[in-house]
Amino acid sequence: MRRLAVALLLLAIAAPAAAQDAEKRRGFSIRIVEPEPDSFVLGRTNIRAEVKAESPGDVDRVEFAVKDKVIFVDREPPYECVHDFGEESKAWVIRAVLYHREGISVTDVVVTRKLTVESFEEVNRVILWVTVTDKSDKLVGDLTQDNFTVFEDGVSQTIRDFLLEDRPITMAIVLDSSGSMRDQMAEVHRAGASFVETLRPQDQAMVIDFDDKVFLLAELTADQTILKEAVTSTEALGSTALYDGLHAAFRKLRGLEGRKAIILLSDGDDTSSQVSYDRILEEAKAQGVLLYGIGLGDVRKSVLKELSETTGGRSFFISKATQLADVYSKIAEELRRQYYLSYSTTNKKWDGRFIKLEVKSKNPDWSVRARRGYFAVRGGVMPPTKK
Amino acid sequence: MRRDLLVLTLALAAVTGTVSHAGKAGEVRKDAFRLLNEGVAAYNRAEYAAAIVPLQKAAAASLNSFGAHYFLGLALAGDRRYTEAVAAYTIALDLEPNHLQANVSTGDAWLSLGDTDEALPYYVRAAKLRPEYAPALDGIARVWEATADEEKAIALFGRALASDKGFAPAYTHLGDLYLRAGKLDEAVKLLVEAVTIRPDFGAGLNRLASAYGRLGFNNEAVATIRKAIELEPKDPAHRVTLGEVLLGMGVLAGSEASFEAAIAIDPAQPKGRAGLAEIARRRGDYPKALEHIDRALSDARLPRRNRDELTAQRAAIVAERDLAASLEAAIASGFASAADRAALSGVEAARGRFDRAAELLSSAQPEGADRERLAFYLFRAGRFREAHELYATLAREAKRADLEVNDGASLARQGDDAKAKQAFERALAIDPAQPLAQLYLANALLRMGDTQAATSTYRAFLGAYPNGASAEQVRRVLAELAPEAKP
Repeated sequence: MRRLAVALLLLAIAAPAAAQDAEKRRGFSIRIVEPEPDSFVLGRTNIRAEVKAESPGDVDRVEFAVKDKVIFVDREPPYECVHDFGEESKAWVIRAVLYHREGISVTDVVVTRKLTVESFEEVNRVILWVTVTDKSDKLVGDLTQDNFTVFEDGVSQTIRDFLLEDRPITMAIVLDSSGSMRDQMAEVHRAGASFVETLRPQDQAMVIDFDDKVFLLAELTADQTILKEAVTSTEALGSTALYDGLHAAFRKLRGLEGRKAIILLSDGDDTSSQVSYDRILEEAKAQGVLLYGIGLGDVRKSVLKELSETTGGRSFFISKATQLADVYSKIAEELRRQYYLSYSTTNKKWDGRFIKLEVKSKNPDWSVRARRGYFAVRGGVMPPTKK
Repeated sequence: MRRDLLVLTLALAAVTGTVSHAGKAGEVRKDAFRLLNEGVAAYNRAEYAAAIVPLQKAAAASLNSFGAHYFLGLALAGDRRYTEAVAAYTIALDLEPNHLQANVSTGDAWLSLGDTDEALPYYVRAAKLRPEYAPALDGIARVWEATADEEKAIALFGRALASDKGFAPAYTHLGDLYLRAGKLDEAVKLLVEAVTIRPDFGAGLNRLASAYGRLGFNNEAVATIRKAIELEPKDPAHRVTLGEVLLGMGVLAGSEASFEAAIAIDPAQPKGRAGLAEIARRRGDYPKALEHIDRALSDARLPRRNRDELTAQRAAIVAERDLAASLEAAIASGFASAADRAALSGVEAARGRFDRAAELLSSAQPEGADRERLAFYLFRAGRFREAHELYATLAREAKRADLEVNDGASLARQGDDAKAKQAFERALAIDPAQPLAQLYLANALLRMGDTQAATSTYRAFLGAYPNGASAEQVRRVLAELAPEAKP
């Protein structure tokens, strides 16, 4: 069996010239349509291939292989099977080999991606940071555990720990210094420096600056002088690699313990990132980091809004840099008045799906913000890195 | 070529990228570009450890620079820090997922860590991006080889070479596979082709020297590896191969010097340490042997294959040390049994000390198979007359062709070709297909001046046994005897 599987794989990799010629002649082809390349797969997953042949009778069979093992042989359409990829996120090589009844074969291959998640601090324990505001957008404090209920895909969960969060926070201040920011820089620097002053001695921050390139201007520190020097040194030049900047911030915060936040300021849409929006949205869902996005001027609101709200953070849109100080002040206050909440999930199915979370308050006049969900990936615990 | 281009691009970027920045932001940008160029330059000089620090700093500052993270990965892999290399490559691939060589390099790093499951997707992704991409095919072939499917691996290495004749690593990987599988003829053929295409191909010369050494072409082996050393004097692998060739020839002092030269270039060179351990073992200096092995094993960066080999070598040394100690103690006490003496003779033979091995076994009054063992020890100790006497007796008793051959070889080594010829003919009378009888008979005929008979005997041998070390030697002899005729 193993030798057969290996032979199939080799056949696929080798893609003999004769078979390829035949493929062209006959219009005989196969394409894996599910899962997509570079997606991530866990648990029981459907594998589906589309087959093209001059006549359905030309098809002898389709063999599906995962890594070096044939997992299913299908002799009639639709050509698909279900395979259990387990609970650990890994990159997989999935092949489909289409055999013509006259012996030729053609192959398609899809390589999936490994997903790195950071949703839990301990196995099965989900942690949330929750912000509550009233009708006039004022933060609501002094609440108790009884005020909240948590749902996972509509299923009620039992809250284990609850407290008003006053432990240190780690944040990445991500600043757009693309050319379009030129006229606003003086105010951006002033407001940024004021925001740094709101940090408590136990808080730490790093400063990331991006135009088409992304640079770390200050490594994680509690030293406000260093942070202020960094935020006030940016100069406007170049295009906007917004997603690259965010990707770098998520990466730098990965593995650090405790509450983490990204404070992003940008005045435009992404124009030059190497990393895609989908990838950043995936990071926002996978990493337990609050994102506060500030859009200055004419920005595509939907992007910052979706990214921020996915994480339980918030987006702000302002027309002038003079409004920045007020926004920063709101963010600083919010970060000081969040609730820490944790529960043991009742989920038993670790198949990589995105589990939707909803935190509700008993007072209908209050609005509750928290991350919108997490990926059901066991082993999503990152090794803790001491700060 | 690609590297040079990248360096140029980076240098240009350094100029254009820092024009308008001042203060902290300007300093960070300027430093990042300077460090990147510095690191890449060191990497291109193969100074991996020196390249790592500036590249780490460049990558830490320049967060979306593919070049900084990719070259950091390359430098870390060059310094055998594969786990860290994978981390750097992962960031590079986040930035440029379709970079062919970065995918292959990540596969290589995983493979060095011994994880074929992790390595395969990267090679396959590269092969999908460019179907006939030789490094990707070569990588997949190495995954098959690591999963013990040599036949498929050989086919895929062949495809990699067909796709790119100048892709040197496929020659060395396939050559290594042939050497490990004992397919020495194939190894020589392949590697001769490789160094013909690229005469400055150090790694190819290295493997070719190994193949020659194992075929017993010691002069060729030494000359070939010396050429590699001349081309790449800083490459410790060439000193290791010279050490191995000399060790195979029994030249312990020269071998030791060569292994030590390898260690001087790279103190963590695992094969250099393995070679020194083997020499210490042969000298009976087990503490020294284990010290070398343990030093090699203490390197956390050691690839899994080397670790497994060293661990096995260590276990064998410990077992031999304990056995030798208990047997020597028994002999020193005066109460050693014949079995103890026979067992210790085996240990001494394994160390290459055949004279003592013969003495010990002789004093054990051997019987049966142990008499053959004694004859062999006498032969290897250069005591050909005693070996002949014993082999002749054994051959008469058992009427076995191989014993007649050994008797003939002992006579030939005493210079008595006429009697040796008779012994080989007796062997062939018992078993006409006995390969060594044919070969040695031809050798004896040649030494006796009967060129015509020697040539036809050599040809008969080659017709029956076209592969293997001896066949290659016979082809060479025939080429000298009858250069106009194809053997």
